[in-house]
Amino acid sequence: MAIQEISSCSIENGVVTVNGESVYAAVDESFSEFLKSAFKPLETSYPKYYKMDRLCQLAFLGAEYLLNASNFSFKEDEVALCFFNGLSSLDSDAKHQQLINEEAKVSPAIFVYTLPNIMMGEIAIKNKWYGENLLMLRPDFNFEEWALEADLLISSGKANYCLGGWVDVYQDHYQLKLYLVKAAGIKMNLDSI
Amino acid sequence: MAGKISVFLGAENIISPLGWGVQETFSNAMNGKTGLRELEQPFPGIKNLFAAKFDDTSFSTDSPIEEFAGESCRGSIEDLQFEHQLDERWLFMFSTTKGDIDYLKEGELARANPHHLMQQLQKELPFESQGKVISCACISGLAALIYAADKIAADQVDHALVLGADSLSEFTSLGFESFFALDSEQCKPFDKQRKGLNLGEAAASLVLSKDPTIFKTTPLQYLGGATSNDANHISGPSRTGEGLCRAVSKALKYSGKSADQIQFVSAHGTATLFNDEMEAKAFTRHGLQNIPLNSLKGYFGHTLGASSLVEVAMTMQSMRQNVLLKTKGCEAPGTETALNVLTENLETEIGLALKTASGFGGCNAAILIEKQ
Repeated sequence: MAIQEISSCSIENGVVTVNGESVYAAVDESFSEFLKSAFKPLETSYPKYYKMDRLCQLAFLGAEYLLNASNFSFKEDEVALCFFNGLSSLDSDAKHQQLINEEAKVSPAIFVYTLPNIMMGEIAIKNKWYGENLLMLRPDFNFEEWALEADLLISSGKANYCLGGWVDVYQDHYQLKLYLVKAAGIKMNLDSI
Repeated sequence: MAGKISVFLGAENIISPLGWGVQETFSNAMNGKTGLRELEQPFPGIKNLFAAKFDDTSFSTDSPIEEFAGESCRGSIEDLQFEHQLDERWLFMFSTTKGDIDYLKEGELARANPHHLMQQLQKELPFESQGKVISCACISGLAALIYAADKIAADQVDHALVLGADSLSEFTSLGFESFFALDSEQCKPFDKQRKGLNLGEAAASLVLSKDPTIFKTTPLQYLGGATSNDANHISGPSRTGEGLCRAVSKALKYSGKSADQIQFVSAHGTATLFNDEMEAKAFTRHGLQNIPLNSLKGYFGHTLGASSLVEVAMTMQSMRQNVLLKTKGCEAPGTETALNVLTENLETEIGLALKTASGFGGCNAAILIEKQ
């Protein structure tokens, strides 16, 4: 493997863990309440967060915790976003479908979140990242397989860093495992071959 | 770039309301036909929709998308010839935005998940494969193609069947309607009077391989590609074309080409006011404003996760047959930044083509294809 981990973040069961240490816990809150309360300690003034759907909020929250802990600065084009996701945007899809079933007026504010890659857009906007975007749907998460994708993006010269991992949301079920990785040692650029 | 594995591209196929198979589809488009039409009450909540939809009688199961996507794959595989290649390392890429979303209404969540559909399609393939689903809004097809090419170039797989498919659904139709993004008549990409997009359904597939002998017909070459994000807005295109401009820059860099070598641009061209203007700005920033360019949305509608593969397949046919298709629906090109939009078919030989796509989430993709 030609990549090395810089930092990691997991969020599940009401606990935020960064680099193996629990940094925030609110185990008795509903998922929606937790997404709000866990955002406060970050002291990030970002009103857009409250407009996002829960999949985007969870991904955004994880990325903010991860980046706050790694204290890196990045160039605009050098970070690739690569996410695995199980249930796609089902959490918002179900809300949009519910309105259709009720013959109610559908909402563009919900519909725009019926694509799972929107979460990468939200992270890119916040960080001003213009780099690569890749989102794969798969039933479960496997770090080694994710690391292979991150390695491909980095070793092919398309990125110097890769942020991503696993984000999955549906109703009260949620799970996030995010990683920030970089090239280990000397890297071949496509240009330099 | 010594040592780099070349990636060949061929066996393109399209199953669409415009034609069953790529030959029929291309020849219908060349004759000015379109798959778009006025639909009356296509779904309970929609009275009228100008869209490209298969006749319901075309299918015999409760999953039309599985049928037309499977048909596209079969056509692609028929264009291959095998000696030992069936036993080599295959990748099966499925790009889609919503898969079999109609099942959501019935509460069948597992069947509504695109991964399930991919597995159903994968079972029918004549080779063992790794199956992967890419869902990156309207760049899904190009994102899957770029990913597959990178896997081949890195010697992680030998061949890839890349499929894109999306169906015309009540789910997406009502969503786009709520955005006021739809034109109630034939869409007009890059036209002064463009008012919005038409939706459509289709499947397109093609094969990428390190081995040019697998193709019955001489393949084209994939040179390079990249994705990018606008880092600007989740549902509105960048006003400056920044993300698309960067995707094109990177695709050129990875291909070892410069913008002045590009002879044709297959644009995304959804026919919304802001998207087409954004593309015009991005292409002009690369000095591509005089290069022949088309959008094919006037033939297929916007087929979302399938669209960019449909357009790659059509571009490949254009390069093989030396005919560039006009932008159906565009009579008077009228982006603020002027482009050389094809309003008539053009017979010409093309050696190097650029294909781009952009989508919700601010994502963009660009690839370069070459004919030797």
